[in-house]
Amino acid sequence: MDQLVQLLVNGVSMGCIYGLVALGFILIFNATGVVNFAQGEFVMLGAFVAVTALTQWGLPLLPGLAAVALAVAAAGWLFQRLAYQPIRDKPLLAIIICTAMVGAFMRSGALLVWGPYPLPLSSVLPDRLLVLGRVVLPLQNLVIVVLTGVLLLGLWGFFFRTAWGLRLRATAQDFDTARLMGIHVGRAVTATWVLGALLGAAAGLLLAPLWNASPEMGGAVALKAFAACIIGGFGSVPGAVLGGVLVGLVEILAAAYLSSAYKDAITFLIMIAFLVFLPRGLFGERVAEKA
Amino acid sequence: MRQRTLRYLTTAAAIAVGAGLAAAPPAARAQQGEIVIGATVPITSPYALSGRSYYNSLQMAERDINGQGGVKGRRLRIVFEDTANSNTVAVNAFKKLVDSAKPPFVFLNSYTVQNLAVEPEVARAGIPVMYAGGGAAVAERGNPWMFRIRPNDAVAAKAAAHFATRKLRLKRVGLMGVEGDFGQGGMKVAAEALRKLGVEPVGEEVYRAADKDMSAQLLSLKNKGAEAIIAFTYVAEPPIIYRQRRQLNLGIPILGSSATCLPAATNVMSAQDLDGTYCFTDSLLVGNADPRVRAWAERYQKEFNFPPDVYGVAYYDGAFLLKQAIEKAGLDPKALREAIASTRDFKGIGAVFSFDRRGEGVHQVVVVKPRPGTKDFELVETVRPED
Repeated sequence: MDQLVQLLVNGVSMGCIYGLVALGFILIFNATGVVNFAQGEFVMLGAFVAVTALTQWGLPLLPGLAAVALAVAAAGWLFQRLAYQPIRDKPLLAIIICTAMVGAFMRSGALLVWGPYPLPLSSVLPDRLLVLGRVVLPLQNLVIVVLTGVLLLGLWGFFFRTAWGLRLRATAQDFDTARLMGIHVGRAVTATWVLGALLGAAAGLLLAPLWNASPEMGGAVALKAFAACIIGGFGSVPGAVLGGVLVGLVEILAAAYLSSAYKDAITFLIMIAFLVFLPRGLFGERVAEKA
Repeated sequence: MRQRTLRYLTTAAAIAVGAGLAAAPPAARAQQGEIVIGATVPITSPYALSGRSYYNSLQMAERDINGQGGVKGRRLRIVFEDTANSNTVAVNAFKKLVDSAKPPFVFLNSYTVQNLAVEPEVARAGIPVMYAGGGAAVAERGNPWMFRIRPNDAVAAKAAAHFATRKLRLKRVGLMGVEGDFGQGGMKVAAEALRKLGVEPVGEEVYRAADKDMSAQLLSLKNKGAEAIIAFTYVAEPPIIYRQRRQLNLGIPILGSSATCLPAATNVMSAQDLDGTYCFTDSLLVGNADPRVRAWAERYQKEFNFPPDVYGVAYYDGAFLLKQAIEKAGLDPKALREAIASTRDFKGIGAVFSFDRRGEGVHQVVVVKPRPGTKDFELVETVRPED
């Protein structure tokens, strides 16, 4: 029982990270129809920039986080200028391949700038243990769950309580109608790319104290986040988060009780089962509904 | 306007790439009197994590050898090719080197999967190579051109089993390893060695190299009653495994393979994470009592601003071992192979090399542990499992 509680906390906290990255996938997909295969690289970028700002330059926490947000927002803007805007009228497949290629460029760039050795980021999350009876829980994992909740609440507030959020939602629904309503669709799309990058970076910030920053850290998390999107329903915001938590739980419980060697196979088997039997996922909308 | 900007940027990028290519060094051709040898090393990709150290140490060896008058008065030049983390790239890198530079000798890298992929090409090229991948499968192929300059994984696995049962007197040992020939191969050898010593492993847990959460595996072994875990890891995972061991309050020691005490791993660990762990490795570099080893380690640290590791020193020693063999036998591949194969008791910085008929050069490992409250390692004992 004690083990189960520990596993659940670890699974849910990992799932929250997957959910955050999945949310980045969903926002960009809803606004542009593109699956951004470089989403994981923004996780990596957020982690590395945080290491530079907070550990290497020694900036205090809040200015440091602001610097990270600014840098990643700029990277998100540049990314869409290079990988999306010039070819946005081309077939979707071309755009998706382009995002994957720019992602590879970002990984190689990180290797050049920060080197191959993992870098630690210890100052963001408290590295303490919470002892509840016979259960020992790392505070970091609990903080991840809480911070993800706060971030989601903030996002909900942004989308449903601000004019900018309304514009973004309208753009995601229908480009032409949004344009007719006087919304600057181009700006809204740009803002969505930037927001997607920031969500990835937030996941990177939460992950770096656990995993250390490394050029390849984004790939592992992005693949699971992609599975989370499929399970939750590609296009659904609550689905992305729930899908993320489900993936986190499935992989840790499968590793503990079935087979550690096949935990990923089990996770992706579930994803394939969803694709075959419930392609809309748990919360996805029908394709016809959006059209 | 936007179109023009884009065109401008594209042209600029093309010019930059073109200029870069033009500035790149010409293809590897031996200058007058030079001896050109090859090295296929992962300089990019996650494999660069350990590749970087022997990329550095081979350059250091090249400078040192030339500084001491070269090989028989001729300058030594090492031509590098990147293998990244792809077997195909590794095979192509080797073929390209052999075709363009026609070297009498090549250093392969420390990844068993790539060593196995390149092995048929080595046989085809008919030139001696040295490699540092630990997988027993490479030597089992019986390729006479291949020489291993580190202890193979079976040596470390057997040593770990001996240490756990004889020294720590443990009765319940768990095994954990990264998926693939190295991790699962090491677990298999350790399990057999434990059984021979009368201890049945309580469990065997596997994880994938890309995994970032091993808490399920750690908890599972603990729940099966493990008093210690023998772990076979690459260099990226030990910081995560050791941190999770502390965060889950497991309270049992980990006996880790050599990657668990590489500076690339320990640099991002805390002293608390390392507390109560042991590492099976080739040699102790930083903090070694031998002034010659200590001086080399200090020089490497100063030159590359990063601590040296056992992979780096193996290639440094390999370069000097090669120098001795060339001085003895010249550059004819067959004669050079014979000279390397007949090397006995060559005292390098990191190890003493004596090649057996399977091309295995190093036959012992050392057990090290961190000094309490620090990340500095100290020698516990030297283990020769065959003894």
